Amino acid sequence: MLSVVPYRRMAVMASAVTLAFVGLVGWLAHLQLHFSDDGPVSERSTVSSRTARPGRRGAILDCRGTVLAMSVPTKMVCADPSLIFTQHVAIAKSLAPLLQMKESDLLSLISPRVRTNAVDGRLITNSYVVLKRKVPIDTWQQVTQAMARLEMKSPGRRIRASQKLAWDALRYRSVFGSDDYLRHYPSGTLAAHVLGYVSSAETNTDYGPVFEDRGLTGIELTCDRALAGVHGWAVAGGGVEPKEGLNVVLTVDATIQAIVEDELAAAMKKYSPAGVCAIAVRPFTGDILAMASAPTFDPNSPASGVEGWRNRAISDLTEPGSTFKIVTITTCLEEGILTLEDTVDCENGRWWYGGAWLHDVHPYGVLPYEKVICKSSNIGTAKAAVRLGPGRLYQVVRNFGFGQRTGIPLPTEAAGVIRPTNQWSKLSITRVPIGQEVSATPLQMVMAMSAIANGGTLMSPRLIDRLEDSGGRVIVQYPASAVRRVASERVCREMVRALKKAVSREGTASAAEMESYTVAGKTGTAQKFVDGTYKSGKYYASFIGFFPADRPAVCIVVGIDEPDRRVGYMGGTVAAPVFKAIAERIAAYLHLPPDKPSDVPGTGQTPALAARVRVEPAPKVSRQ
Amino acid sequence: MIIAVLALLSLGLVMLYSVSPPHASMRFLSRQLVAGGLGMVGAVAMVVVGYRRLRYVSVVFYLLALVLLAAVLVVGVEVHGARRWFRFGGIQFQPSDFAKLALVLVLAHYCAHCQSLMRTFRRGLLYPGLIAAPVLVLVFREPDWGTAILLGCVTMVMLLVAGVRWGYVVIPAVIGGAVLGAMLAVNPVRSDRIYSWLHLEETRDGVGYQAWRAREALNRGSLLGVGLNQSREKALLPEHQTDFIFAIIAEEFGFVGSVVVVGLFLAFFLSGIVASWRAPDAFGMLLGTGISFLIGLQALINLMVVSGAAPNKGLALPFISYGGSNLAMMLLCTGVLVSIALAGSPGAIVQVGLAESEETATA
Repeated sequence: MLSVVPYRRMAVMASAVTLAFVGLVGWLAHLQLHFSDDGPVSERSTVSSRTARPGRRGAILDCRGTVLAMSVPTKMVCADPSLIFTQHVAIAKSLAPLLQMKESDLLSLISPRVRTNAVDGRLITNSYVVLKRKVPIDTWQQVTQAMARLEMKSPGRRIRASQKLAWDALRYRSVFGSDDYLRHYPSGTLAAHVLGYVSSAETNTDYGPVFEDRGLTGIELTCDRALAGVHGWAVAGGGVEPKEGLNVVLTVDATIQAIVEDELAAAMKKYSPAGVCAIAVRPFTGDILAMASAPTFDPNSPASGVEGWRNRAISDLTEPGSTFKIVTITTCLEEGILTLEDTVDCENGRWWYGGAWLHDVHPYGVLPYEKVICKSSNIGTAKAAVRLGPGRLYQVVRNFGFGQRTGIPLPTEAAGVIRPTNQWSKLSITRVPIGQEVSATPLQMVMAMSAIANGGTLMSPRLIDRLEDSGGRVIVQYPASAVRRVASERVCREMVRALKKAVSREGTASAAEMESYTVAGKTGTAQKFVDGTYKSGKYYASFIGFFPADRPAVCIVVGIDEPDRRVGYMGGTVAAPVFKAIAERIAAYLHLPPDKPSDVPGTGQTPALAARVRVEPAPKVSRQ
Repeated sequence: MIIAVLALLSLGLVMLYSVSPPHASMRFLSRQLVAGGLGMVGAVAMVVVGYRRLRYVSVVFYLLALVLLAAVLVVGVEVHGARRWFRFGGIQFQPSDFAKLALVLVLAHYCAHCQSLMRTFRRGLLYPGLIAAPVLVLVFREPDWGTAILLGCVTMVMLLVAGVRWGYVVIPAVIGGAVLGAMLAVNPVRSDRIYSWLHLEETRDGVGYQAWRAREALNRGSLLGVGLNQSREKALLPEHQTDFIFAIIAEEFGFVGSVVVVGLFLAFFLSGIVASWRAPDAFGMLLGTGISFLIGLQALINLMVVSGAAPNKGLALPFISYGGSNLAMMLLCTGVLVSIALAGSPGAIVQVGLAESEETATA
């Protein structure tokens, strides 16, 4: 018969198991009823099931809505190696040509990485790898089709139903795409220096990593915060939609920009210089219509043209040379020190002052100041400056915006140098007025010239017109803004008269003369000041002019750095023809009414009135 | 005894309800129903036949189990790096499920046979040890450490109840535990699991992902749960329909639901013990104890794994987890228990019990 012992033992062990069950209930209560907030259980820990979705970056448009830069929706192709598992060879083979990747690279990507050589347990592998980023949508469609067509090799002895499930999982979930964007510049190199470029970077958000484009230079950098979208996130059954970034509308006109770049490219060929640049500005508003620099680069693949990255129009610091004389003479007129009819002795090309000789290119005798500008006499200008005095000259040069940044919304702008008078030597008073011992950027020069063209107001350069949302609603409008008045309208009109003479048969810039428009402008030829000496053989040739002279529509600067001396180095022979070529084409494009020879420029018409007689822009011309 | 039957009935219902939400597709459910139906028929057959007759086939069963376990190592289907399954046509069969019953049967048979000699070393430890060892080793080789440990525990319990000296059981258990610990230390997969169990936060994106998601599910469940079929974790939790089904139950029905499940298992276990207590003969008592502990311990270990109180093993939750052979075997075991219970009860309850279990079969 049974003894008592077994029952006692049974009772003991049964009680032990019962106690364990009761303990389990207590443990569950601890886990489920949130008696404490610590431990791995918290709201934060649900975050990892969210995935961040990038917001689309805004576009950059020209003043007529032509797209200069945009973000094209693409796919980031990802894979789940834990699902791919047995089929990785077949998948690598069919996807490698589509993704343009090496089959072996792809294979190593999609092979499960954490492979436990499990003796019993579950195989835990990595379940997320990025195969390729920025895959075009049509390629992505090919990828999904290829996956759907994929012939499955039977991985062994599995029951049919589960095999089918696995295949479906493989086809539709093992390779998946997530939102991604490719920054695309449809016109290639057009306005590359204005636009800049982006680089794609991974940022860690609260909802996981997200890939976004960040501006590295140009407008892409300065407007990065406006352009950047707001990323959203997705969770099972909901989430927050990402928000598109704002569009930036520039004042640049893509057609004018193309004209300018076209002519600069021709100049590069013709003069084989180190570089050229040009800016076209609306004198009355300061709107930048075009800003170009060569050599250039393609922002679609910025790394391919490193030597072209430099935006010469705002960062080339050179001595402006003769173009600077307009500042000196304007101020003398303004101060009433002289009139254009007053004469000055130009000393036949050699003037001893301050212990050194000052030369003219061509020797002149006694000239009226009108001719001094027209012939670009160094001696005549220097004599005027001596009468003006260093303090006043320095003040005026600063007033015209030299020695400080114009504030154009682009990175890498140079300020230029104008030394304060206490650092001037005895010679300075004869050198500064003719554009030596100072340095300036082409942008500063063109803005100064625009001030004379528009009747005496220095404008701040305007590059961004407005910010819009994706629906075209204006978020921010940037109005034109004046910096200060630098000369009176009367003086400006006189200067324009003198500058018109410069662009005539008798002046230095006859090559800039246009067929049906009067041009006012000034040449500049500066020996480059390198390593403390004026090195012979290296010149910076420039021309700044505007047209039609009495109601100016466009003011253009052309700067040519180190032109080939065999072809020419003078501003009048090198830069002026480039100006002319650009100006003729812009005039045709803008349909400006000719003012020469029949139409006598309105003597009674003030430039301010001319501003109101704006020319209707021509319909958009397709530019190829 | 009525408690036992009622618990069974409720568990059957919980099983049906709980299995359906994780799978929108009817495939899992229908297959589970087929297996359940087969198990029910088997259970009723067991009741009708009576547990005593099992004694005659116990040795045959045992040998058959050994053959199957050996065969599965050779021709079994490899899933997740382990050979545990046979495939016949469309049906998977896990021989270790069968082996559980067979081992319990043969041990009960042996112990009942050598009852008075159990206190001796040879009869009490060596022979039963030799009986149990091949099964344990073969299961261990699959590899299925969870089941092997479970069977080891059940063997110990049965031997103790059969009257073997404490020392004879405890000393081999300690030695076995030491060997197991040593093997754990040198096996990277197992030691990783132990590590992740102890350091859940660190490993939650890797080895500990499953356990971490399960804990997350429990947490989401709170007191009353998120509601039927509202589980979010079932999209994220691996093996949610099999080993980790309890996490989904706890998420959907909350603390209340999980207490009900735990309570039902406890009730089942206790009624099994009561049935064994009242069993008219030693074989019935031992068999009932073995089966009660087998199912009770398996449920306990599974629940502990899911709730993070024990490292990951790979044991299914009896009656509830998806898995045909397991369910069928568990029901068969239940049939045996009922049969034992009936044998130890007054005649009137025999009738009620029979009627009830037939009702269960048709449910």
